[in-house]
Amino acid sequence: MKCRRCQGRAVVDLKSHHTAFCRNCFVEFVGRQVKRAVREHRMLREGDRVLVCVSGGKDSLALWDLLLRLGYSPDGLYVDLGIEGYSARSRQKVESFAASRGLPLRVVSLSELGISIPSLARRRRRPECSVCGIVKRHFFNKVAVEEGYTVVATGHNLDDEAGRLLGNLLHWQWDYLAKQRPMLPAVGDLLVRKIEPLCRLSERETAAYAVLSGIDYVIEECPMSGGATSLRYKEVLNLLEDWMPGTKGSFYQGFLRNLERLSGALVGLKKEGEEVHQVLKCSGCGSPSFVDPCNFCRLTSG
Amino acid sequence: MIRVFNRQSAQEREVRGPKTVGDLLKELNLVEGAVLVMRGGELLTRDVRILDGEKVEIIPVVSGG
Repeated sequence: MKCRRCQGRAVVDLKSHHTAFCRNCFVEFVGRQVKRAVREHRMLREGDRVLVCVSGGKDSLALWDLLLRLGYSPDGLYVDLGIEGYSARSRQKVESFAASRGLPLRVVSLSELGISIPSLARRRRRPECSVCGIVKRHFFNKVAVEEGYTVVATGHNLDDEAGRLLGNLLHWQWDYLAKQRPMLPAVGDLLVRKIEPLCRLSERETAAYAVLSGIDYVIEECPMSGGATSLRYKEVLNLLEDWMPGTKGSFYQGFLRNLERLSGALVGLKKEGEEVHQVLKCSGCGSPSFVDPCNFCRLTSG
Repeated sequence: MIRVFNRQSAQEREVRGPKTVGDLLKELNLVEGAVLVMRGGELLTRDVRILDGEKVEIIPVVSGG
C-alpha cells in the first residue's frame, strides 16, 4: 500500500478515510486533525495556561507531545491512583516522558492522602471506574484552579466520545447528552475550561502516532477496568466500523454538528418545574459541584 | 508458521502462513480498529504479506473504563 500524499511505503491504513500514509505524512495528518479540533471548538486562546492530564497511556502522552509540536507549552498533571503495580508502572512512563523532554510535571498521590481507588470503591460499594472518574475530575480542576491554569486538556479520543455517546443514548441520559462536547467553557473562577483535542482521532490513530513518535506508553490495561461498560460500547462500535468504515466518526461528528438543535430539544424535554442545575461551591472542600457536599467529599468522608 | 505475539497479554501463538495482515486478523477474530500490527519494529498495513517463520506483534489499542 502506498502513501496517498507522497507515494512512499504506507505504514498506517485508515479505512474510515479510504487512505493510507507513510510515517511522516501520518504524523502531519494527526497534527492537522488536532489543529482542526482546536480551531472548530475554540479550545485554546492566546495567553492560555494549559494543564494536560496524563495517565501514562497512549492518548494522554500523545496529546502532550502533539500540543508541544503545535507550539503550545502545557504542563503535565499525573494523579497516582494507588492501584497496586499498575500505578507505579504508569507513573514511571509519565515521569520518564517528562524528564526526557524537560517538561514540568505535577503529581498528586492518593496514597499521601490516605486513599486509593480500590479502597474507596470497596468502602462505597461502587464500580472502580466510577470512583476513579470522580477522583480524577476533582483533582484535575482543583490543581488547575489553585495553580492558575486556564485550561485542562484530556486525552479523550473519538472512540471514547462515540462510546460515551452511545451509552448516553441507550440510557437516554439527556443531562449528560446536553453536556457532552469537546470544549466545556469555564464557570466563573470555580471551573476551568475543559478540552478534548483528540476528539477527531480514533484510538488506533493515537496509538499509531505514539508508536511512530517513539512514545513509550503503558500498553497493559488498568486491572480495574475489566468488564467496564464503556469497553463493551467500544467493542460494538468497532464491529460497526469494521462493516461500515467511517461510522464512528459520522456518529460523533454528526452529534456535534447537531448539538445546538439537540440542546434546545433536550432542554425542552425537561419536566415542568424542573430547574436547570446550578454550579455550587462544595461546603466541604470548596470545589465546584452540582450537589453539596460534592461527590468527592461524599466519597472520601467518614 | 507465523509467530504472533500479543504485547498486552505477553502471549504467543502460531498461525499457518503465508497470510496478509488483514487475513491474519480475521483468523485471530480481531477487528482492525482494535489493534496495530508490527513486524521488526515497523507498523504494517492490512495488505502486507507475512511469511511462515516470521514473527509479528499485535498491539491492542482499546483502553479506558
